[in-house]
Amino acid sequence: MDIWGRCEIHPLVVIAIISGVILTTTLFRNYSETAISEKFYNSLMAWSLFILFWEGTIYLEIIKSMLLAPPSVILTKAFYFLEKGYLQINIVSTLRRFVAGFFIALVLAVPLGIALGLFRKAYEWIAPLLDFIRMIPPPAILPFAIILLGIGESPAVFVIALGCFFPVLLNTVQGVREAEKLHVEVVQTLGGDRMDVLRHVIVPSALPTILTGIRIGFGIGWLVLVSAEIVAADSGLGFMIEGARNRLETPTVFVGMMTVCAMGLAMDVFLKKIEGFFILRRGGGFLQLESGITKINKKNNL
Amino acid sequence: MEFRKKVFALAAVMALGFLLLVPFAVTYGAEQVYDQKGGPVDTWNRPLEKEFKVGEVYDPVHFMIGVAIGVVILHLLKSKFPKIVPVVLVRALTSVGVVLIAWEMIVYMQLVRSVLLPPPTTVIAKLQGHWGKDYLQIHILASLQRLFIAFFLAVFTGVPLGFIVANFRRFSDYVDPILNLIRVIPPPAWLPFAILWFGIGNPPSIYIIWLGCFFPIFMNTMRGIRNTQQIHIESVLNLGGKRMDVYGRVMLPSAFPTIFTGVRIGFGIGWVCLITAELVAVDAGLGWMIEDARNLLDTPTVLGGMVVISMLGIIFDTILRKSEQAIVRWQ
Amino acid sequence: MKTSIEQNREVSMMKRNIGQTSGTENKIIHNGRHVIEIENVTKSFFVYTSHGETVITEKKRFFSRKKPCELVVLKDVTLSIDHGEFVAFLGPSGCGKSTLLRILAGFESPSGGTVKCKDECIQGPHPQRAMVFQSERAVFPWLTVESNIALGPKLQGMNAEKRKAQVAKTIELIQLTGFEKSYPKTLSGGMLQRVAVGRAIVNHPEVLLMDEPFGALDALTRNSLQDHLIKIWQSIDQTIVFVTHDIEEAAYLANRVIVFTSRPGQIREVVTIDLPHPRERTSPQFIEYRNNLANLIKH
Repeated sequence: MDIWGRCEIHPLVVIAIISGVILTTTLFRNYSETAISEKFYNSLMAWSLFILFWEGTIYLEIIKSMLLAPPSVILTKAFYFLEKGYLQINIVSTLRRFVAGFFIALVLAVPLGIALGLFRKAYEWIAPLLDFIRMIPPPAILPFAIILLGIGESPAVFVIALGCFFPVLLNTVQGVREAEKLHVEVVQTLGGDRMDVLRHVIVPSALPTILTGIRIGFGIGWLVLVSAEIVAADSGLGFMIEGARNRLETPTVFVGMMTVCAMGLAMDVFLKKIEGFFILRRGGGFLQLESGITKINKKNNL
Repeated sequence: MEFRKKVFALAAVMALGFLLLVPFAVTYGAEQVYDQKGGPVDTWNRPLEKEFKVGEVYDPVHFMIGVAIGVVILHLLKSKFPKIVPVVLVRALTSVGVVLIAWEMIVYMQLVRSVLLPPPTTVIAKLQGHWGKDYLQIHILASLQRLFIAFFLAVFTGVPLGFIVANFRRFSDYVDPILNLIRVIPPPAWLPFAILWFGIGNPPSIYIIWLGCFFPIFMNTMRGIRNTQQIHIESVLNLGGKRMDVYGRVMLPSAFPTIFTGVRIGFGIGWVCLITAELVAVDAGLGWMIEDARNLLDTPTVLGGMVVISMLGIIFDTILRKSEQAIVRWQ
Repeated sequence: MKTSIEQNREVSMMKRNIGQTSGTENKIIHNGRHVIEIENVTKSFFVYTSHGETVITEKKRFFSRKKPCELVVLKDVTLSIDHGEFVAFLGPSGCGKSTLLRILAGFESPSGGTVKCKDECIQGPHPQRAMVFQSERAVFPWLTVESNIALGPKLQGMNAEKRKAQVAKTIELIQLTGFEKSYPKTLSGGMLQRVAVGRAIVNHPEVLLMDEPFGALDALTRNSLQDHLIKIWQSIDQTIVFVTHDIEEAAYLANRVIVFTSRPGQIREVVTIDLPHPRERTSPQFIEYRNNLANLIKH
C-alpha cells in the first residue's frame, strides 16, 4: 500500500463487500430461480469475480508492480479527487469541449446535408472533395489546427467538430435522398408547396437516418475528443490522464480511464433515450403531434 | 471461384502477411526501419524550410495555369469520348482542381501568410524533397507495419471470439458485460496506460490500434452469427449435415457480409487510432512526422503528411470495398 | 360407432391384408413395410412465465417454483403411410400438423408414442426424410442453384462426377435448366420453391415432407407448381407428405387426406380421394370431395 501513498479504503473492506455480494446473490438465486434473471446473475458474477481477483492478487502480493493499482486505491483516489473538486473540473472541461464541437458540427452539417440532398447536382460535384477531406483522420488534422489556431481550446473543438461533421452530413444527405417520392406526390396533390413538402415529408422521413448519423458522429467525436486532449490540451480528462502518466501516478491514470468509461456509458444511455423519443417507427411522441399528414402516411403505409 | 475457397485464400493472405510483418516490428521496433535504409538515418536530417521558398521550385502561376488547362482538357475528353471517361472521375478532378487553383491564388495574393497555409506548390515540392531523401518512405512503412499487424491480429481474434460468444450462451453471459464496458472507452484513452506498461514505440500503438479494430469486428461477427436463420440451420441438418457443417456451411457464409462490414469499419477506426497513437507514443511514422513538423512550424510537411494519409486511407478503403464485392457475389 | 382412431387402424390393417391402397397409379409394396408408422404420438410443450418472460420448453424444468402450463399440441395420433402415396395433412392453423411433420423430419421428438421410418425409430433429421420448408428463403442465398441442390449429395460423400450427373437430372426434373449458376437473389418465389424441392429430391428420399410450400406464392404460380409437383410425384414414384390449410390444394393433390381437429390435434377423419390425376377442379366429384373436406374442417 505504501507505494501509492495514502490509502483509506482498506483492501479487505473491498474483498469483504464483493464476497458478500457473491454469497447473497447465489443464495438468493438458489432459493428463488425466477427472481433474478440468469443473464443478470452471470454478469454480476463475472464482475464480482474479476474485481475480487484483481484486489486479491495485489493484496496477497502475488503481483507487485508500479503499473497496477488495486480497486481500493483507485476508489480512495477517486473520492479524494471528488472531495477536492479536481475530478469535477476536468469532467466539466472535457464535456464543454465535446458539447461545443458536437453542436457546431450539428448546426453546420444538418442544414448543409438537407441542402445537398435536395440539390443533387451540387452534391455530385462536391462529393469527391468531401470524401477526400473525410478520409483524413481528425487527429491528423490536429497539428495543422494547432498551427492555425494555437494551443488551447480552439484546435480541440475544431477537430472534434470536424470528426462529428462528416457522419452527420453523409447520413443527412442519404436520409433526404431516400425520402419516398410517393409521399412527396401525396403532399403535392393535397396542395402543398415546396416548404410543405420539406416540412411534412422529407424531414420526418429522413429523421431516423439523421439520428443514426448523429449517433455515429457522437461516437467518433468522443474518440477524437480523448485523443485531442491527450495531445494538445491543458485541462480535461485526457490531460489529467497523460499528466498522471508522466508522473507515474498509476491510480490517477486508472481513475481517469474509469471516469472516461463511465461518461461513455452515460452518453450511450442518453443517446438511446433521445433516439427513442424521436423515432417515429416506435411511435415516439414529438413529431407525431406536429405532422398529421406524416402520421397518416406512416400508419397506412401509403 | 467458390466462396469457401475465396475466404480461405483471404485468410491465408492475412495470416501470411501477419507472420511476415511481426518479426520486423515487435522485436526490433522502429529502429530497425532506420537501419534498413543503409546505415543509421538521422531523423533530424529533414529538408529544412529554408531549402524551399515559396515559388522557388514551382512557379505558382505556371501551376495555376497548368491545373486550369488540365481541367479543361478533361472536360473536352469527356464530351468527345463520353464512354471511356467516367463521370465521377471528371467531377472529382474538377472540384479538386478548382480548389487547388483557389488555394494557390489566395496565397499568391498574400491574403494568408504562407506559414499558416502554404500553397500547393510548396507542399508538392516539400513532398518531393522528402521522397528524394527516403524520409517519407521510412515513415509510411513504419505506419503501415503497425497498422497491418494490429489489423490482422484484430481479425484473427475478433472473428473467432465473436463466433464463440454468439454460439455459446454461457460464455457470452460471462464475457459480455466486461467487453461492453471496455468497448465504451475510446482506444486513445488507453494511450497513457499503454505507454506506462509497454513504453514508447510499437507495442503501445499496436495495442491501441488492435483495440480500435477489434470491437467493430467482434460486434459485427457476433451480430451476424446471431442472425443466422433457423430455417437455414434446419435445412442443412435435414440434408445430412453435422455440427461442423452448421458452423462452416451455414453460419459463416450467412454472416459473412456483416462480418466484412465490421472489418471495413474496424479498419477505418484503426486508421484513426493509428494516427492518434503516432502523435504521442512513437518515434517514427506518419503521425510522428506531422507532429514533429508542427513543432518546427514546418507547415508544408504537415499538410503534405495529411494529404499522404488521406490518400492511403482512400486506397485501402477502396481495396476493401472491391474485395467485398468480389467475394460476396450473392447480394 | 367406431371412433376415428379405430377406423384408422382398421383401414391400415385392411390395406396391409389386401396389399393395396386406392388411388395410386404406380404402387409397389416394399416388403410389406410401411414407409412411415406413427403410433399413439402425443406432443406437449410446457410454458413457463416469469417477470414477463415467457419460455416454452419441451421438457419440464427440474428446479422451478411455479408449475408450468401444459400445451398439448398433438394427442394420440396413429397413422401409417405407404410407398408412393401422396398424403395431405389438412387442418386449421395451430392444429399441430406442422408439428407432426417436424416430428417426422426429426426436428422434434414426440412426448409419447413412437414414430418409425421403415421400422426404425426416427432419431434426428436425415436426408431420407427430406423437407421443403414454408419459406422460399430456406434456399441458401450464398450458393448457386447448382450448389444448393448438390449440397445434400456432397454431405453424403458422393464424388463430384456422380454428383454433377444427379444434380443435372434433378434440375431437368424441376425445369430450371439454364439457371444452374444463378443466385437465389435473381429468382422468383416459385423458382426458389422449385429449387427447394430439387434440393430435397436429389437425395432420393424415402419420403418427401412439405410444409405448406406454396402458401406464400400467388395463385397462378401456386397452380402451376401444384401441377408440376404431381408430375414429379408420378415420374419418380415419390412418397409425399404435404401439410396445408388450403382445402382445394389438399383435394387437388392428395390421394389420402388426413383431417386434423384444432388444438389439441387429433385425427378427425381420413378421406381417400379416388380421382385420377390430373384432376379437374370443376368436375362434380372433385367439388363433392372438396365440400366434404370443408364440412369436416368446420366442425
